[in-house]
Amino acid sequence: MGLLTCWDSYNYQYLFDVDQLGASVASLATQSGATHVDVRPAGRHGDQHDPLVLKCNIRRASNPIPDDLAFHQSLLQVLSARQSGSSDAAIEIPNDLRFNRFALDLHFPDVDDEASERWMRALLWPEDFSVSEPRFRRAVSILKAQRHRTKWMEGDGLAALLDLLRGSHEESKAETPSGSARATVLVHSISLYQLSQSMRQQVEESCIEASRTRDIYRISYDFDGVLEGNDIMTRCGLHLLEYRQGERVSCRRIATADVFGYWIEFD
Amino acid sequence: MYRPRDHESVRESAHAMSMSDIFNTVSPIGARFMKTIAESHDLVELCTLAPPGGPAPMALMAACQYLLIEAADKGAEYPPLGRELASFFPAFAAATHQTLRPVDHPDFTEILFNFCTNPTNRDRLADLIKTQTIQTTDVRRSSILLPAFLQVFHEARQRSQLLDVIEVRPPLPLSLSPLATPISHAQSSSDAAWDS
Repeated sequence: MGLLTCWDSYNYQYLFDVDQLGASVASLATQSGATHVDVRPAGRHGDQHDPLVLKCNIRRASNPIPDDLAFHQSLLQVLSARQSGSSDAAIEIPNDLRFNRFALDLHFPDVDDEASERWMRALLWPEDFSVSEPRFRRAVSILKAQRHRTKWMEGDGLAALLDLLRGSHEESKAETPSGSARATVLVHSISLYQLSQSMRQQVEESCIEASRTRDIYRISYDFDGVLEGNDIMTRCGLHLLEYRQGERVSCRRIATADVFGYWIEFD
Repeated sequence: MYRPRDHESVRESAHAMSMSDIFNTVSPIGARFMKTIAESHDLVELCTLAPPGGPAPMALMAACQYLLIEAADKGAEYPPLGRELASFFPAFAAATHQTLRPVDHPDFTEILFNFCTNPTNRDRLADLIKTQTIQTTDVRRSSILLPAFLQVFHEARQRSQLLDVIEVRPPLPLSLSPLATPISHAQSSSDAAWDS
């Protein structure tokens, strides 16, 4: 799985024009001459590990990047460091947060099977194939090295979702250090639209029900309107929802985003 | 877990994708594929063979590209009409010594239809569509999730929370079958201390 198994192994580069940033970071960006911010796993510096670099443009939005967003705060820190002469400064993905990873689907292709691997390449866009195929192969090699990090679960995901959200799975019951609690993060990207309205409602109800016993975070990167049942298939939104004590307590729209990850506009 | 397939829903899906700004911007070939599918009963019929989950018309496009990739991988003969179809694919036109043709070329529809309905190709396409799943494999999407993850990590740290992360229908579904535990028989890992 690309995102959760490997996402904290990739290097990212968010490119921007200064006038697309809010005033608080634009001046820092100008002073440091920055045109992009790098994001990489904590402790990794330079290219010694031959990382897969994914580039994403921060596009002009009607509003600047919100001050209270962790991404904004990290951006400020990086630009400050660059201004101080640290040209290698980057947002670091924390590596001190332990978490269990589960992937849920009806069926997972077998990456070690030649036909399945070829099929996955066949799903790449024809126009972009020459560029995206090497990136895909690199992602596959990273994933092969890290697949043990994820618990792969095939079957009716909707039927299993509530128990997983509640942390009923054995891995979730691992001892929790004193003073800590466990929470669940549910992630879906460009997939909720494939579900019927009643199935989507079941996802929502599962989050609400599970939040009676632990906090639930839900990251939704999907076509606009899917959370409300009014799909708009021309653009995507990135939302962070939180559920606590049997209620959805927030639904924050973080950004509008390209469906293929080429650009993001913070809301 | 997913919506059932039927002829009309597949046709509508293909039509919607053919009209979509996203498709027309990112992949004019894809948009033309979808338009051709939406206008052909036979091609829609092929798409309905796709298992649940994912947009079925994408399965036919992937299956066509699969046959071209396979020939290129193996250095083998292209399937019947494969060279003609490859002339619309930038990655394969040169390999087949074809001049790259624009996707709005008037012959596109006929070539695609003939390629898909050729008996030899049709059987192979049907097998692929029936047995493979449809998912995007664009790892670039993870860059969009990252700001949300940073926010969750920030909040989780403030609340001293450890996290279980569940991804439904991951975009790059790469795994080994032995690691894909049937959910009804899910077993605990002997080593629950997965790294972070």
